Amino acid sequence: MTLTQHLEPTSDFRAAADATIAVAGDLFGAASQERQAVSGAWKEVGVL
Amino acid sequence: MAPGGLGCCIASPDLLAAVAERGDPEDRRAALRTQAASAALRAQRNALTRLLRELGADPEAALGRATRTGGRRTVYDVDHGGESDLPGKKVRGEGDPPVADTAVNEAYDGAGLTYRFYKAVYDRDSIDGKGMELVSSVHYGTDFDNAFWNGSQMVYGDGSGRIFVRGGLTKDVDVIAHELTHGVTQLTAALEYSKQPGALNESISDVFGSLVKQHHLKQTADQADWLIGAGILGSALHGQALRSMKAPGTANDLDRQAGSMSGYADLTTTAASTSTPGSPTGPSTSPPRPSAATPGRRLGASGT
Repeated sequence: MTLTQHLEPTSDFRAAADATIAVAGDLFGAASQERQAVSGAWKEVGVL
Repeated sequence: MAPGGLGCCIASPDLLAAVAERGDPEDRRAALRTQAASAALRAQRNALTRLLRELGADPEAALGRATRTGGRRTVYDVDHGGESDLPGKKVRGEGDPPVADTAVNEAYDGAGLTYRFYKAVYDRDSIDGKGMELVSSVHYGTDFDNAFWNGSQMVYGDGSGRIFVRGGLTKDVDVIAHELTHGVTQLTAALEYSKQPGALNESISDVFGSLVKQHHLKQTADQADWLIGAGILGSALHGQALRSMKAPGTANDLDRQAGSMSGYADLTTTAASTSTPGSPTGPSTSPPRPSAATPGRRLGASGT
């Protein structure tokens, strides 16, 4: 879903972070461990 | 969808440059030969992408790959020829028994594992989601130290023994899946091959390359090594793999990939900006690490 519905030719790291977090929320729920893990990972590497 | 985002090669321009800078004369020859051939390919593809965009053409139709084949695999031997000789002579089609040439069988099997991963996990039927034929050519060029997706098919060099061991470029399914994923990205998000979008393009290929391997080995994210190109490095490189998503920058002695944005830098040229110290796979590939279980589902290219 990230590649097919969210990202586009000029998407940057921030856009990818937003997209993967949104997709994790769609697939697993807004309060899911999965969504938190994705969000935490982007923070860990300094994109968010 | 705009055509574009073709992606490139498994060995990045900055790695080849580093080998050329540090290596002995034979290492340098191997790196420069591969660098020159890879740059020519990129230029050719960028021109094609621009042309298609200007014409507003459907890239699949324009490239003559609109045929739906249910992900059928076909492997060709280009017999040391170049881009204009592709795909070469057909040596193994879908369902054919293995042949004597190991590279042919590895390219065939790797394409199959990649196809199965995308179908099983994302219900995506081949690269385009519509059953596109998976075409591979082996024995590209002479001692060519790279593998690449050329916009419509997979191409593998033999390796010179310097940057990659001979026969190494078809050995790792993560390398094969990395390149095939450039096809998926090209036909979905079409990320530009420059700066951050280019780095994401590379990163996505590394992530899915590793996920295909994990799927094949039935590993969890915690069990996986998250290495790209493990065990195939030639004598000019010292280390365990080409890249490591678990520990960016540690895969080999010329691995300068950053582990966080503090080490990220755009490179000055389009060709190099996707693969520099600090850029591509670093920041964006780290997410799978902490997210256990099935990161691909969370991070990835859903075909649905």
